[in-house]
Amino acid sequence: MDELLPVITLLMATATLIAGLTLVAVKLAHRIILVGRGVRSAIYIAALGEMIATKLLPSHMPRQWARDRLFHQAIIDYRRLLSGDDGEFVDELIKRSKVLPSLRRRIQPPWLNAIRLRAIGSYVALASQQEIPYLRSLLTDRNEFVRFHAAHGLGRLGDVASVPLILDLCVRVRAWEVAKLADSLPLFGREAVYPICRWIDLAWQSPNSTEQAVAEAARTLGLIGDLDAEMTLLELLESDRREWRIAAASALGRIGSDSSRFALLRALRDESWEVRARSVRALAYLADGSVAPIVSGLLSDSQWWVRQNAAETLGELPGGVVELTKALESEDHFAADAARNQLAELRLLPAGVSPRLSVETQ
Amino acid sequence: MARILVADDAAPVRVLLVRHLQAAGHEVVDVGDGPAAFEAGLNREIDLAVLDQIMPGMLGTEVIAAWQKQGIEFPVFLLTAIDDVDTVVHSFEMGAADYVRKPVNMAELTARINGRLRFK
Repeated sequence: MDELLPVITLLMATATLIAGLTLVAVKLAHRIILVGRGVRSAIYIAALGEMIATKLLPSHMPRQWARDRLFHQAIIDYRRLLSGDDGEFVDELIKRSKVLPSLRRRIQPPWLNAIRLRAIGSYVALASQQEIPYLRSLLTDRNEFVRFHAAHGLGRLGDVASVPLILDLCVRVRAWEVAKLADSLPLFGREAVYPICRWIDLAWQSPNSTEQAVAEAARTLGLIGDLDAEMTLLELLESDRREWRIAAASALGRIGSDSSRFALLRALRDESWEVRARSVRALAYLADGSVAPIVSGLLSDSQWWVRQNAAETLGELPGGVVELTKALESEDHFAADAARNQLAELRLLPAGVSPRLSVETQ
Repeated sequence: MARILVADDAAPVRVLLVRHLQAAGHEVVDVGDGPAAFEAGLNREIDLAVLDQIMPGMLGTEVIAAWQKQGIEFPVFLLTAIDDVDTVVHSFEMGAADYVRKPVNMAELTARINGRLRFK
């Protein structure tokens, strides 16, 4: 055994040395790669900057530039930075560099998903109106993240004709995908209001429409906040589907018209506590103090969340604090507690009133 | 000819602004973060600064406030992608001379800078 000891020690030392050298080599290689990337990136930024500043288009660009993601990033940065003549010149550079056909090849399925997603991300950032048909075709791609990118790209380009396509897609996909796809809809802006309302009208009659797709469409109308969406949202608020009423209530608060206000006040008597809770919260957007006494009535609702939302709304409405202070004297302990909680939150609790809740902490 | 400080963490902004301002006959000092911008304003005789609002280390408005504390004053253009009225108002309250939203029209920005320098 004693004879083997030096051999074992030598082997262990050699293994440690090899492992250490390998680690150093890997670190060194990594550093070299990073430095190389930094240099390449700086070259692209400087070269593109020179072309843009001098407005000189090169007769051709090296073919490998179109395949290099650092070049993609550099040209994306310039595109995001510049408007006017400079922005148009960058668009010309994008065409001249043939970067879009190169990216399109990488978006195709034989490539790994990681490469495809990187390519579609850059493609969407660089795409112009001519790329709309291709982006629309990607809405049916087998990869859901490619579909999300395509929807966002179409939104960025303002291709309103794609809105019904995206909403139709929402009917066919899983719940989490609906929410991700719906995120792209506000990008289309006010121009999307009519197609969304039209789609909701048709979906209403269709047995295939999912509750969530319509609800997301209604939420989008609220985010866009255009008065033209009011009629559709008012109809949804009267529908027999709870999800639609909840979404419509939130959206109407953002629309903020007189009709919205009346409809939301009616919805405070809805059989669903979620609809009541959303409606009372939506009234806060309207900033109309005349509704404060009605909202105050919701402090006695049977559901904690409705009472809480009513108190928060009163905290934001003109004259709401007066109603909250009055509610402190209420014989309904739940109403008094909701008011006390909100006044304490606003640091407006009258002197001598205990912030301790009488019912809900018990 | 004026000495102009350009501070932005995005290299393309610096490259283009330096190119345009040099072409207009100015001397340009360019830096990539907030603390470096503050140092440059402190140690170099700057006639005008173009600051990005969101920079590593210090916000553009924080750099302006730090200069003001040191008694240093020159016109500052804030450059930002934030499209929000509160931010614009806050920038002017903090002492910014102008507020430029990205995406930027370089020719217009250069003209504004030159105009401001003429009335300095």
